[in-house]
Amino acid sequence: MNFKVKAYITYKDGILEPQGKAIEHSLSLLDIKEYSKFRVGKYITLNVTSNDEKEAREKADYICNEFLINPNIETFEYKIEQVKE
Amino acid sequence: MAFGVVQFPGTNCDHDCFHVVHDVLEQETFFLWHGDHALPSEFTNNPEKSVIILPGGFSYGDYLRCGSLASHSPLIKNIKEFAGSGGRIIGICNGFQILAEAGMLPGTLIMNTTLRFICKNVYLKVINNDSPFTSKYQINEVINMPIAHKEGSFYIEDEGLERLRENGQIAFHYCNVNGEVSPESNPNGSVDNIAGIFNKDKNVLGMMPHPERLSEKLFIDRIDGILLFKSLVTTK
Repeated sequence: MNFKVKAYITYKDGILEPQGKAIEHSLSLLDIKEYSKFRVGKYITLNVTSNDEKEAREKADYICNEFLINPNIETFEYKIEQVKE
Repeated sequence: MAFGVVQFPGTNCDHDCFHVVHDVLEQETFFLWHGDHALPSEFTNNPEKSVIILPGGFSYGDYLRCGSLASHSPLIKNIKEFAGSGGRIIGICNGFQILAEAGMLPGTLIMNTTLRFICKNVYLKVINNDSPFTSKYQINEVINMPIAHKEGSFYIEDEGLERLRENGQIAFHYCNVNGEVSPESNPNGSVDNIAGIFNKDKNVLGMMPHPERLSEKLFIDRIDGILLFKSLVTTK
């Protein structure tokens, strides 16, 4: 079976996230005050083959933990759906 | 002593490093390709008498995270075994990022707090000279070296920092010309002004500054970087 994984990777709370900080600074120069706490992350999609959804989730956890994030500074969550053949 | 300079796609300081150890210090030097699955016998037969350099650059274009894709290169497995056998490894700039991503050094290199690429000479204080990399420096010696990076801010959690201090793993602090370590002398926001660290056994060093760029008297007389490579050549 084929599954599509949509992974969102973000910096952990408390770690300086520079792009979000830059966006806030840019808005402040325009005197726009209603928006705050921008955090920029990554959105990565991938396909994975497996026997069932449980196994697909285990494989998604593996690739996120081992490749897609640095666990010192990042965390992840994902949505998973079966790809109709 | 055999030196190996690892080349990843996007590495660009490899030839500078090769020049210092091969042409200036006249050591047997090899280029090592990241995609190989074995090290030459000069490294596996005698790991304690050989050194591997992970040079600076932009391996894999810094894609995903600096050093992350390079840390999964086939040769990294052999480099880890080499370190385990007592071989010496120095990671410079992107090389430091790769070692951190590979888990061979603690901590992570993240974006400079200034959000800018910084290219300038800085002062470093030598904190620990009890290593094959720093034996030719004096403790608390203030040395001069260039940095050139955007993601060079060293981050580690409090417990990790405490372990670095307890084990004597901090190699260099950013400081000013008088050796004062302060926020003002910190170019990139690194925790505790850390510019370089050792692993626990002190046979692996990662540092953001470029010693290979101050190792030959070309336009200036001060060549503080050469002492690091001379330390490696002479320390048993």
